[in-house]
Amino acid sequence: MVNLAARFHDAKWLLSKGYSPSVYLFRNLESGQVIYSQFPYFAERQIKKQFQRPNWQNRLPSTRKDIWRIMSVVSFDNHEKAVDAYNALVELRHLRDVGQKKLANSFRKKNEDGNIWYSAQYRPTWTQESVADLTTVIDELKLENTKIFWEDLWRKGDDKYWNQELVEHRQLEKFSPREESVVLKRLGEKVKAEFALLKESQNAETLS
Amino acid sequence: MFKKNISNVKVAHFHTASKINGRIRSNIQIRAPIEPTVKNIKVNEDHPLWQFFHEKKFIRGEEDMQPSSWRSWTVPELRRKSFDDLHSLWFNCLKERNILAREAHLLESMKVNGGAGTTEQTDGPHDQLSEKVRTTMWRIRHVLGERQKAFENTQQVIPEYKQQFLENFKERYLDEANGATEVEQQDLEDQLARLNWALFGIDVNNLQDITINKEFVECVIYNGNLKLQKFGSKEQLDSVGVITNAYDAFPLFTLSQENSDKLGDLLASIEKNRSSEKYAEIMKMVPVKQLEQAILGFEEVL
Amino acid sequence: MKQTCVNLFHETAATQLKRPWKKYRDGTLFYGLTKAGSKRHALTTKQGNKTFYKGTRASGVGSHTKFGEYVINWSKVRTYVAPAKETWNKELSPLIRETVPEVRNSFAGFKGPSDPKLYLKKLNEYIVYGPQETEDHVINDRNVERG
Repeated sequence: MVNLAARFHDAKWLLSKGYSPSVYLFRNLESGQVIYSQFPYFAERQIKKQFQRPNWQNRLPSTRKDIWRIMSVVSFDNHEKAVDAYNALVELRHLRDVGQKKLANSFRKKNEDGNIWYSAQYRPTWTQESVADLTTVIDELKLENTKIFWEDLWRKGDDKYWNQELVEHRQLEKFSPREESVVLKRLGEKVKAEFALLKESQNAETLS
Repeated sequence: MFKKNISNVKVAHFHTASKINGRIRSNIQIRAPIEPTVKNIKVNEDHPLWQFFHEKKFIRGEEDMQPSSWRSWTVPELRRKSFDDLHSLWFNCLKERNILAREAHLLESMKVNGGAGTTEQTDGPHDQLSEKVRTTMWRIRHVLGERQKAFENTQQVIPEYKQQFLENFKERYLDEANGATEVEQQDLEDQLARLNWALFGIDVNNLQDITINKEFVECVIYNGNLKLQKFGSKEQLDSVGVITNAYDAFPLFTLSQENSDKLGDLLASIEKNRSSEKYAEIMKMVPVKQLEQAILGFEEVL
Repeated sequence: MKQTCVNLFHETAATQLKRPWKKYRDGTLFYGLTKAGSKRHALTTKQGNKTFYKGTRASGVGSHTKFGEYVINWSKVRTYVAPAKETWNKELSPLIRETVPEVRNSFAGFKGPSDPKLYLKKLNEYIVYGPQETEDHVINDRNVERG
């Protein structure tokens, strides 16, 4: 079977094939790195694209499925927004790794040796940076009616970082790791249904 | 056609790649990492894990600990407590030690990261308090052991003393002078209930979930005779005689001060039972079976 | 075939008792690899021969069947009986304030706390007076009570 996540898909395609307007953030349990995906799964190609300057501190993560867990599902009210957000997130990752490397490094907490703080393989800064990027994207692109389903609301950080008018935070239902794909699928259906309802009401308005 | 389609797809870009190449100026700037915060987590007031916290505090300060102002329970103090209390106290101790261990572990890990005062030779307040709680715990076990020992020692001598106990009580119970007033009489009844509990293990006020065994049979016979002698007249005593089986004794066992006027009816029913055909058959049974028959028969009468 | 007798000819009762103990007749050591060095230490899980099983104090509550299942022997499973909700006295604190004077016991006339005579006396007191304190069993002004 072809892994759809390996290629970029535009809004029209996603809409026609019935995918939900969401961006999925997966977190690496071992290193804390995060990958963005348009689908409730990911592909090796995405990893290569989103980690363009791997080094000993920011290693190229493996594709092992068991160490990637969903961190949050960001849902929008149309597919254009979802695609925009996905692209922007990938670009911001590139900006951190390449364009504003020095600035990004200045934000990071360091240990005694001047390296990024870590415990074993884990560097909490990767996860925290992706949360910051998410706020940037939502604020800059003014993505209204965004709903973020967090696996753990703890990671969302303080409310002051979020534009309350644009975003609504929710808790993802509790699940065991082996049920993750089922839960994500069900959530996708839910978002799609909401999206359809919204569209219907808009159509009704325009007709009247 | 193809071109037109592409131009229809509007994709918002930050144009970061172009910016790096110096073609487009973008004022997009990355933000500082957002740290997670516990403020986002709501914990129920009755969450079971609160049992690991002292008054829902993350960690206790020096002023809350003060090991020198606390001492363990002493053995004489614990000797006054019932089994249930000792059981509760044991678990309270366990919980307290869990709290102390949690806090100590936390402090330990903080020291490792902070690097301050890692080489302490003396025990901290947590260790001192924990040790004191441990002392309470071994003393609880000590007291329970003592009780068990006393119980076992007494089991060896109780057969000779039991009869003595019963005789003594019988004297007191039947003495007219003791049961003069209603209050005194009630006191005697209470004493009888406690005697049944202490010597036979029968709780007279709660007969619902009692198993019928040898002790119960003994208890019924002793109580039946006692009640007969207390409330019966001389003629009645002579006609019934000393009761030796539980089948006859059970109706009398249910007698008390309030319904002592029913004694005549009960004795009549005993006479009736004795004259029936079943009686000889029942007398051949083991005492426990006799008592079962008596209880069944008594329920029928009611 | 091993010549066990040759290896054992010098063995006496005394040498058998000397560490390290020997398990097998052919002289292979039950545990440890050498006879030299400090021996009086607990073995770790990595030491000993194939028959040495240390465990983790966490398992061993059942047995494997020949079909590969594991049957739990419930009599070996630890159970912890906490007080019932109604009888759990939460007000008993694990420690007492230092300022509270300590009570002492005296066993005058008895052999000690486990004396059956004392038990019978208490039993009699219970029958006559009920669970309340008796004159005989009360704290006097020097903080001494009968045990």
